[in-house]
Amino acid sequence: MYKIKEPTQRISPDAIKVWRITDAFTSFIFLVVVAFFLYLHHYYDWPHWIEIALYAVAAIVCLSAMIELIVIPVYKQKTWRYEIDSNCIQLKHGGAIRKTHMIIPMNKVYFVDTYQGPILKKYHLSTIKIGTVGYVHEIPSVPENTASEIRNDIAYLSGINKRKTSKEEGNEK
Amino acid sequence: MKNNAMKDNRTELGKSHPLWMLFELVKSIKGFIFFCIFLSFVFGFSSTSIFSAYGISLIILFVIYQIVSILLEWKHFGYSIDEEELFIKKGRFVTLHRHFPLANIQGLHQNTTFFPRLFGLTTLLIDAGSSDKNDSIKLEMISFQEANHIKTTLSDLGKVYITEEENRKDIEKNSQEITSIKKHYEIKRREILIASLTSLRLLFFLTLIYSVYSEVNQFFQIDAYVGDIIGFFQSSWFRLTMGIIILICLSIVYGVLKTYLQYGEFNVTSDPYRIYIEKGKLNTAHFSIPKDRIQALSINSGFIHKFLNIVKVKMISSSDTDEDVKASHILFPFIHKNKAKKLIPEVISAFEIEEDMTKIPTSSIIVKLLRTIYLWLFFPVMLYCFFPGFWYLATIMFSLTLVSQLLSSLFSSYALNGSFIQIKKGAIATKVFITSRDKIERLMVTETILQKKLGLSSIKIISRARPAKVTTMHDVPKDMAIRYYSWYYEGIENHTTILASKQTS
Repeated sequence: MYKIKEPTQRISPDAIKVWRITDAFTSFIFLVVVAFFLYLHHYYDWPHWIEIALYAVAAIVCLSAMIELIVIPVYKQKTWRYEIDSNCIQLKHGGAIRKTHMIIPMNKVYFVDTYQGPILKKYHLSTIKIGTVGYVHEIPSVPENTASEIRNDIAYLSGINKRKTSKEEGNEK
Repeated sequence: MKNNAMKDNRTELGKSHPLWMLFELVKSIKGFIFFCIFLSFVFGFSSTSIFSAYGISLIILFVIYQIVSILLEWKHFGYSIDEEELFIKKGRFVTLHRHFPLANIQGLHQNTTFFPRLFGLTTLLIDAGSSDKNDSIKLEMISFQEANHIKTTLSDLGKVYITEEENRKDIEKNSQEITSIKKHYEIKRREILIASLTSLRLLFFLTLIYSVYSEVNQFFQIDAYVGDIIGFFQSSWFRLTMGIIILICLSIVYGVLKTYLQYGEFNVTSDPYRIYIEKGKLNTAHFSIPKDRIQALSINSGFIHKFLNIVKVKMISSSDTDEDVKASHILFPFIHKNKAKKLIPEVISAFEIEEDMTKIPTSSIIVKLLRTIYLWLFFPVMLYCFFPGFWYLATIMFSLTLVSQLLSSLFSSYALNGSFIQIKKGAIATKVFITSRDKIERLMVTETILQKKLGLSSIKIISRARPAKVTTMHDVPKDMAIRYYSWYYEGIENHTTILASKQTS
């Protein structure tokens, strides 16, 4: 069957590590919160069902953390694609389970940022944030240098397009 | 000229009429009373917390605060306009000065409610063309003379054209413009009548009566009298039918009157750049919108209206909207389908309506049912298990969701016509969405594992509006989704090359 052409660019393989670290961290915080409630439960003698519910939550957190740590980062990294040409930005993420293709014209881009948290910094990666009407799209974990290049490219291309459009509108009026 | 005089006396700012304060005060008192009623509903009327000494002092403090802030707001508000810019000063405790270049002004909306009109006052809402919602300029309670002055200043710049009767003469001098302004549509009495008879205002009327009754009952014990009245009508068949007929007549009168006041005198005119809409009998509203700001059209039809082929045409646009003027994006409130098809290309030449639409594959029903499984299976079952008393609600939900999904898979359709995309959703009440390629902000194509097996995809179109409007069309054939994707991609490419060639030439 005829397919949408996949964007060519991939994100850094280190993205897997970054996602693993951040997910481990959030799961850990969740577990700490649950543990705190368990402590409160023993301290104040809350009804028995609360204890059961808390253990159930803890179990779910552990289970989802396992999946999230082992499978999901790999799946996400393997399926993430992006491509930027002079006209538009194409993004693709997700594979077999749920695949999303997106296309953003350059002249509809309102701003572009690169963002870097401490973990991303450790691996010399950046996240590109693309602001559009109503939503900010992200290209996660791109090598620092590439990210700033892309940012400048998008800023330049979208800026030029905008100037052209406003000129055109000005001429019409 | 007048404009120069204005410029020289920069210090003399235009102000709202002092009556504005009175109206604001009445408005805030009205809001306060409703708030009290709401409180008394929540806490029960027996609790007199509002009327204790503590409560009274709070009320007094609130009223003083309101009076002071209204006074300051009026005192600090001022505006002036010259050839280059519109200057606004506003604020309560902190004043804000702001200059709006006239070149950026996108549109103008005049709203005249009943009481201010008695005093010859009107409200202008100016769309300053920025994306920040707080930046819309509202000149409240200014005289018609002032409003006209502002309008002529803007129209001289070619920003806004005037459509009001008293200003028509001015335009006539400008023979070029009078030829370009064209009247497209004026609402007819018959249309108002049919629309109000077929809308659900009948139900609204009954709820209105009931809410009035329950409000009054809070203060006066009228239970017994109402019981007597109901008893009177129930005592014989003749009286019962009479009573029902009277009730129906009253609600019809209410419906027609309400619709008439809201949409009476509704008319649509346009020139090459803008569309003008006027409406309302008691509260009149004038509204203008630049044609190139219309991002998409949505044509909706309700359950009963569908049988009569009556549709409502709405414009989705990025231009300013204000809470007071919610309904102003309606292009035609109720119009015959064929007439709408004829008029839309006439009013907005950039839009075409495609008759020939393709239905989505029937296999989509599997995906649709799975997608909404929580609505027709999980939720009703849970409801039934935990609250068996609500079994009827569970049944209604189950059957409604099932039927709507079934119908939607049978009747949803799509079309791609040149640079237009057209999507139709729903069967009992339909929604048609039309937009053109260069108005789409971004396009998304998604595919789940089940959709992949069935060769289906979903598309999502994001249009520029406030807030951004997302239109999702589930389960179109995959080939079609791919065509949409490449169609959009090519559109962007063409757009850029055209721009580039324009710049080089």
